[in-house]
Amino acid sequence: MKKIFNICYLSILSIFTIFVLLNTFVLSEVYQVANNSSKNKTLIEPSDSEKTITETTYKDENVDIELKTYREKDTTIYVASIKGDSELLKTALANNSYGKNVTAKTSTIAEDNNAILAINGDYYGAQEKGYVLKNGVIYRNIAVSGKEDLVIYEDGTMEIINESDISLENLLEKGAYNILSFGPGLIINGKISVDANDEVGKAMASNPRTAIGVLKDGTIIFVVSDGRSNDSEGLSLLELAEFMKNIGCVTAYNLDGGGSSTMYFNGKVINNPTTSGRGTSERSVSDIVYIGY
Amino acid sequence: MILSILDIKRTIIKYIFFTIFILVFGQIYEHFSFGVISNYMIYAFLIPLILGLLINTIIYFTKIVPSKMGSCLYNNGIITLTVGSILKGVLDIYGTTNMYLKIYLYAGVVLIIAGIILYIINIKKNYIFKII
Repeated sequence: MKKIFNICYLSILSIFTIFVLLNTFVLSEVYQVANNSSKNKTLIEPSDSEKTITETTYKDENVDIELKTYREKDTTIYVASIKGDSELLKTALANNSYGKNVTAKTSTIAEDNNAILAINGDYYGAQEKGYVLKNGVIYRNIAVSGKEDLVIYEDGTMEIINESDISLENLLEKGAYNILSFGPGLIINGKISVDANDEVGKAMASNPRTAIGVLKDGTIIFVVSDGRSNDSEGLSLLELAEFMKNIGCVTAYNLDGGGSSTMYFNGKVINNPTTSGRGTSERSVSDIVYIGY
Repeated sequence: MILSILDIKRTIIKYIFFTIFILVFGQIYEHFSFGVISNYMIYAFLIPLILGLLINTIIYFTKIVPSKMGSCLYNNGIITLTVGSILKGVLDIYGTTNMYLKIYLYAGVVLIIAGIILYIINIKKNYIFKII
């Protein structure tokens, strides 16, 4: 009797565990197909005649992007500065769909959306809670106590909020257009908001990182660092915050990092994305933040 | 049917190996997790250590042994909580969540409580009443 119960129970436990793993990492389910056309605010058209593209720059009449590479803390850091119309700052979902385990490589999502510049986003699909607002469309309205989000308003301004403090409806009333829900906030009101202790339990070690920020003059900054490799050690959250403070960011926010960290510019991947540190390989993600028409 | 002291001794030895396995597994997994820490992974070994090894050692010395079914339910509860903790650690380190993880906690606690209830019934039946 005892043996039969043990065999049956352990079999059920094993099957259930396999199901949970598949449910978490493999089985995909689309909840909603993104309908960007109805909400998409961009009415600006690209002008081919005045477009200037080099290895490290992109310039047309609406936007001016410059890519710089820094070397700090034994790590290569890629910084894209974006000056121009805030309407070109958008987010996009993998396969244009909101759902569980709906993923694609950053470069693939970027190509699907004709992005000029793109970085991986907040990987909303890895979480079951937290606000998901993409290009003005609410996909998930479940607040997480204490969760810091980056709100990008229609005019391009950015603000770091706490989901406990404000509802998604109120944010929409204030003009929120995109919300990035990963965190933590790195720089809030010009001050570094993380320290070494904040990193414990999240990722205290050096890793590839992705972050977004804004300078005092409104210039938007995308930052991606390499890591986990012989060439680049990677950054801790505090080192990333210090770096972004040094380049003048008044607001900065940490996005999904590690193997997800990818920067795409002018049709190719700029950094060296890696999950294990053995070779370069892009990880599939739920969403991207990009500049494009 | 109650367990013998020899059965308890065997159970203690099994828990020593199980605890060491979970401890080593957690440490190795954390070693390759690029500094992402999960207490559920690091401290999963405490579940078999405290609820399994320690409790069975106490039973061994007090010689008040549980019934076979009670012991079976209790041990399966410990396995369920340990697997759930390891799985929560894996998901934490990856940076994701799953609503089904709660089921490990509920099932584990229910099994452990059921095991304890059977243990108490067994004490009343085989020890207290016999003394009276």
